[in-house]
Amino acid sequence: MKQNIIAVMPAYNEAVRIGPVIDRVKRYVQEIIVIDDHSKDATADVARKHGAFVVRLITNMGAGFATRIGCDMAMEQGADLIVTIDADGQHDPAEIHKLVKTLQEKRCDIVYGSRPPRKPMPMLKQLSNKCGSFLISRMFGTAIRDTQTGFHAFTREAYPRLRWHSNRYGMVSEFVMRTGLNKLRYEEVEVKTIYTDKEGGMKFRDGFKALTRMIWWRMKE
Amino acid sequence: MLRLSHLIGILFAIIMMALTWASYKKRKLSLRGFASWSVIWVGFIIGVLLFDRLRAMAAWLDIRVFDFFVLIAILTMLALIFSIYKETKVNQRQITEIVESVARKQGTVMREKRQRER
Repeated sequence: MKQNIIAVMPAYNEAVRIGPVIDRVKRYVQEIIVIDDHSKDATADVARKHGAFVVRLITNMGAGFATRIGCDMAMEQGADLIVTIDADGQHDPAEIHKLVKTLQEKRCDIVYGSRPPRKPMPMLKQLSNKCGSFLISRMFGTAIRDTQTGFHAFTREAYPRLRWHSNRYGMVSEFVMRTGLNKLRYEEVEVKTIYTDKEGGMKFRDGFKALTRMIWWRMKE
Repeated sequence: MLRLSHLIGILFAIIMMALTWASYKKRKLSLRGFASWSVIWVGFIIGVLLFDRLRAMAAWLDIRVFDFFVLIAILTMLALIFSIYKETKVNQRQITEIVESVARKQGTVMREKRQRER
C-alpha cells in the first residue's frame, strides 16, 4: 500500500528560493505544508502559487515552532511519513527518496539527513558543532554525527515521542535528545548540502539555551 | 539642608514621575501600573530626603548610609527584574497559544476549501 508522505517546510523570507524547491519536492511526496513564519516578502504567495498547502503565522515565532505546527497539521492530514526539509534549497529534494527508503527498509523510527562537514568551515563553528554533537551523544546515548540538520524523515508513530517544545533553533538539539531519551530507532544518511549565500543558522543564544535545556532534561531523567 | 546629591535624586524621581504620567495618559500603563510606579518614585524622594535619618538603620546593619541606600536599590531592582521576567514568560506563553490557535484555524479553513475544490 502506498504511504502518505507529507513534507513540512518552515520558511522565512524565502520568496526567491522556495518556488523551485516546492516544484522539486512535489515529485517525492503527496503533500507539502509550508509554514510561513511571518516573512516580510511574498514567501506565502509564491508557495501557494506552486501548489503548497500554506499557513502564514501572524507573527515570527521561529523555525522550531513553524516545523512543529506543520508536523501537527501533517498528522491531522493523515501522514504516514513526515519529511522536514528547509525552504532555502540547501537540501536536495531528490534525496527525500533516500531518506524514505532507509526509513522503510530499515524499519526505523527516524532518519537523519546528515550533511558532510563544510570546507572551509570557520574554526569556532567547527569546534562548537563538534562539542555540541559530543555532549548530546554522551548525555543521551545517540551517536548522530550531524545533530543540527533540518532534513529528517520520521514515522507517524514516532512523532508524538519526538514532538519538541523549542520554538527556535533549539528544536534540532531537542529532536536528537528525544530520539535518545525515548530510545527511538534511528539511522543516518549522508546527504548533499547546497550552501546558499544566505547567512543563517543557530545563534550563540540558541545554542546556549539548547545546552541548558539538555542539562535540565538529563537531570530530569 | 538640601545638598546637590539630594537635588539630583529628587530631580531624577520627578522626571520619572512625569514619564510615568505621560505613559499613563498614552494608555501604555494601567491605573494600577501608574499607581505602583508613582509609589516607587515618591518612596525614592522620601528616601533621598530622609537620607541622614537612615543613619540609625545603617548603623544597626553595620554599613554606611550610602551602602544601605544602594543595597535597598539593588534589592528593589532584583524584585522588579523577577516580576518582569515572570510577566514576559506568561506573555510569551500566551502569544504562542494565540499564534498556534490562529494557525490551526487557518489550516482547517484551507483544508476545507481544498476539499470543496476537489
